[in-house]
Order: sequence, then structure tokens, then C-alpha cells
Amino acid sequence: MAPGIKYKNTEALLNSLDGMEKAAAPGFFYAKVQARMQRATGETRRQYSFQPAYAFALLLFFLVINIAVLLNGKTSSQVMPSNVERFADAYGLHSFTMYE
Amino acid sequence: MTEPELVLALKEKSETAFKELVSLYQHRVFNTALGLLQHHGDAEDVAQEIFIQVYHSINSFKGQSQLSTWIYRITVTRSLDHLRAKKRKKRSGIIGSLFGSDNQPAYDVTDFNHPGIRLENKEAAALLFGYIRRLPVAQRTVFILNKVEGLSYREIAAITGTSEKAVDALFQRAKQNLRKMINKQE
Repeated sequence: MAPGIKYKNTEALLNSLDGMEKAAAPGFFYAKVQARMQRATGETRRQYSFQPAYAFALLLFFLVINIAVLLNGKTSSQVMPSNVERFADAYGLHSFTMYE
Repeated sequence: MTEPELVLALKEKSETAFKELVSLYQHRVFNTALGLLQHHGDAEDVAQEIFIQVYHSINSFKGQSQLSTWIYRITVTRSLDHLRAKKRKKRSGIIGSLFGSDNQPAYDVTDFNHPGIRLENKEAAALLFGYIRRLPVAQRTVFILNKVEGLSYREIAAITGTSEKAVDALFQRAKQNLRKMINKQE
């Protein structure tokens, strides 16, 4: 191809955007932006909201803690620790009246 | 509403002001994103995200430039970020296809047809957009902002935070590179 023609085609290609019009934003653009914003807000709220699974797990956790505490309390009241018994012996605290 | 009034109302989260902002800038934002991304769906997605970002970060606009400059700056940044993310995805897709049975193409080869191109220039413009895709980011940005969005060197310099001289240099280099690519193919 002759250089002149090559140059002409190159410049024609380079200038093919001349006179172009700007593309218009798609229809209902504002409504779509609003919808997207609301979706994003909803997703954020859901992240921090208390979901049923979490509530159930927490309830179960507290239940287990309470049962453990109750059981622990029961067993400790049946048997007095030996060091407390020795203290009571030393100070005669098994029976006590105001007039002794 | 004047620009300062619009900005003040936006900072007060006025829906009317936000609606006016979108109405004023939607075509400019979309057209710029479309020129940079060369994909209608991506441009629409990014354009929506840009307005949401403007809504949430309006308090950071100090009025040192025009509102349009600030919005164009966000548009260019978000569009280029989107391109980078897309490139990363494609790269991992190539790696995935080496080990899996993924038959996805490694890169986007479709011609881009900008809706604003004159009919007699459509074929040539599609070819040119393909070459523009291969330009370095800075040259591509300046070329698109000037040729597609019709901005002056002064406006582009304000958006990109450079000088008019730098914009001119980038534009000339872009044209030089495009000529090289065109001549190589012919």
C-alpha cells in the first residue's frame, strides 16, 4: 500500500470519534440508584441485626452456664471443705449460744 | 439551585438535592464511564456506585474545585478501579483454567460500539476503541476525556491533578501509540 494511502487511512481511523454524541444514561437511572442505596442499607442492617440462629445459640449458652452453676452449688453445700471444718473446730463454732 | 446551594442541601442529605444532582450529572458520568470501560453494563453499574459514593462522601467536598471536576475525578477513579479488578479476575480465571475445566475466554474480545458514533464511522470507531483499550492508563484516560467526553485540556488537568502541558503530552503520546498500532495492523 502506498504511504500516502496508509497515512490517510490511519488519520481517518484516528478521527473516527469526531462529531460523536455523548451516550445518555439508561432509563430510570435515578430510581436504580435509589434502589441500590436501599439494598446497601438493608444489607448493612442485616449484618448487625440479631438473627434467630445467634439468639438460640446465646440462649443455649446461658442455659448451660446456669445449669453448671446450679450443679456446682448443690455439690459444694453437701460437703464442707476440710479447711473450713478445721477452722470451726479451732474456734468451737459447731455449736454456739450467746451465754457460753 | 446554584452549585453552593446544591452542595449545602446535599450535605444536609436532601433527597430533592440528590435527585437534582443525578439529573444534572448522570449523562456525563455514564458517558465517561462508558468510554473508559467500553462495556454498557459495567458503565451503568459503576455510574450508580459513583452517585452513591458522592452522596456518602459529599462532606469531603471542600469547594476548592467545581463540583463537576470532583465528580469527574470520582468517575475516573472508580472506572479505573473497576478495570483493575476486572483484570485481576481474568488473571485468576486463566490460572483456574490451567487446572480446571473452565472454558471461559481469558479476555474480553468483543468490539465496543459506542451509541453516539455516527453511522458512517461505526466500524472504524469500533476498531479504534479496541486500540484505545491497549493504551497505558494515563494516555487512555486523557484520550477518552477529550475525544469521548469532549473536555478541554484545562478541564482534564483539573480532574487529573496535572498541568495542561502534561495533558497535551499524554494526548500526543496516545495518538502516536494509536498510529503505531493502526499502522502495524494495516
